[in-house]
Amino acid sequence: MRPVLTADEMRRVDARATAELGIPGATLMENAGRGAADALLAALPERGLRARGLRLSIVCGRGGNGGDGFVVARRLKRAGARPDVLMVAAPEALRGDAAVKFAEMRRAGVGARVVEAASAADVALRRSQLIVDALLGTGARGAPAPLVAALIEAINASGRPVVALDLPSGLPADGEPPTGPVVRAWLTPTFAALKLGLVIGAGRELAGRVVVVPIGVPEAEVARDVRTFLLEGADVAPLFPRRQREAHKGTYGHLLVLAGSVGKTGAAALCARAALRAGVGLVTVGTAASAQPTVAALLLEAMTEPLPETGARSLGMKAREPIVALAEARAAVAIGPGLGLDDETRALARVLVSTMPRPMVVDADALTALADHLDALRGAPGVRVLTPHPGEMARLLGGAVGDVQRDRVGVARGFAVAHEVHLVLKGADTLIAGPDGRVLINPTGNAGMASGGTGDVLTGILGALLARGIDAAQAAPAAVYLHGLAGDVAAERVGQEALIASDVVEALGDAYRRLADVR
Amino acid sequence: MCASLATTSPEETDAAGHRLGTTLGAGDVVALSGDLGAGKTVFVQGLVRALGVTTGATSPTFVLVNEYRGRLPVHHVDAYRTASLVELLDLGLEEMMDGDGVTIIEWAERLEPLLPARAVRVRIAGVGDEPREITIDDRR
Repeated sequence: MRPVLTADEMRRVDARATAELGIPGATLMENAGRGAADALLAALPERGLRARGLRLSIVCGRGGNGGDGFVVARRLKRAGARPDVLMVAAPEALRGDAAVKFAEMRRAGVGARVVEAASAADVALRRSQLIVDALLGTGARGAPAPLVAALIEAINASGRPVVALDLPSGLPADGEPPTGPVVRAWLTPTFAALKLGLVIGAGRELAGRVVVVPIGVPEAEVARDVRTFLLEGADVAPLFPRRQREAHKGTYGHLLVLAGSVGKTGAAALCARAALRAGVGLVTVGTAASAQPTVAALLLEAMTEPLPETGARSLGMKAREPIVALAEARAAVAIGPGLGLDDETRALARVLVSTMPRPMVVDADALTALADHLDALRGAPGVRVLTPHPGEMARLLGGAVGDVQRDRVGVARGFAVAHEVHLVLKGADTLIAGPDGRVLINPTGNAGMASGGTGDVLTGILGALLARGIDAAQAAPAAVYLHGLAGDVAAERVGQEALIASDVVEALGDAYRRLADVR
Repeated sequence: MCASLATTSPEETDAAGHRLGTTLGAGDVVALSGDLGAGKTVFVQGLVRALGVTTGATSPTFVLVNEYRGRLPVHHVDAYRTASLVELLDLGLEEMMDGDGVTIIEWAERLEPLLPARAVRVRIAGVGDEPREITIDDRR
């Protein structure tokens, strides 16, 4: 699990490093530039380049990021390269540490030029074999100034590999959508820790390969007060030790899936199949009586239970008693896929969410049932994991999808804390928020998974892990990671275009195998 | 062609630069020499105005090159603080001079070995209140 910082948090790390640890700002800048230069030098062979004689443009802004660029220029000069430093403002405009680093660079025999128009930089950029983007760092706010924006476009138009210092210029540090052009980087050495904008949203692609460069601040100090983390395979793998030889089907838990109605039987079957592939010992699907024969026909390994239904042939309130009885002998419950949106079914879902003592995954139609009735979550006797997509999240909050997407991390954290639940906010970067306010960002998965039924698969996996006795705080990230990994395996097999939810289920085996390789 | 003229004010030096500027085109190099305070930058200001640069010229003493955009690219080089010719080569001085812009070099005597034969050599003599003698050796 790697700490992920916002621009504000990074500013506080810098401030504490100077105020409490006594590390001068110029030292932090030197460490950053040296680390970035080393990362660049180490990566050169991938592009068939070498340091000696390398012609590169280093495009420097007037702030701290430009100062980092001056250090990189000096270090690369020492390594035998031929740096050409382009500046957006005369050196007289530099302040503080950047001014110091500029003077050191000039004393080391590195020249610089001031460009007043991006067109004046074109020739230099095209002549270079590589470009270092040192225009804007995490401190930047708002859209880039016209000259900077034009330089960003010129850098991208050059077709040269770009190494972006700290984060690609033009990319907002906190993951908001960019408001202007953004540098498309090949490599991003980022300082002290990952930044939110590098791991979610547009930055995930625009930053290229991200390498964290230490700047001399101890890791524990960097991560202090940080509440957002990037999930890694190594966090998940230890949850799945080699199976006990003497295991029996009871060892790995029994999951109750409450899902399916007439016309929506596939969702129930997918969910149950995914749970089985996720390694749960037993699955029972409780579904509307009319839907039960179809669900049963779709599932060889799961048991099914026909339950009282409404006129719409979805679960009815009379199903409550048998469900409570069924749950007695099951370790966890997954509710929602294909459940139906009949008023009575919704009321049943709410009652079950607010009264059942078992750990419960709440998804799909059961989430819709909770919209405007969030009080059902208050005082629930068991742990609840909600798995909304952005539309369902907006419905839960009574807001618009756009509001959710603009600040996914804040929305997920706020909801999980306020309602004391675990929340999985699905999307291109699925987030897992806990009631303690921690947010984990999932790195696996792909656009091919934007396909009907993949959410039901996640619910099945998550239910299975809960039934296996894994704590919700660990089961939620593990399920999301596995689900995405299986999606990646499936995409390798059939391609993103053709990928369907069943492919994800069938790929779970290989996903587990890859996870074992991490361990 | 070698011509010499005398100027008695910064305005006249500026005008002399402007006159030369109107004759310049892609690939031309202007190599200026003269003592501190001789008026090289004043001359360059007139020169770049003639090239359509509207932002004016400031001496790039602390960097090495200012890049302007006029009716064609203008590279304004100041070799005064150049520690070695390598610095200027790293900045692509040779490509600048061979490119499709105009290259203006102050303190050109410091990089004599790099100057092409076609460079227009401008020497400004005189300092302070003295009149200036401007010698233009145009071998284009």
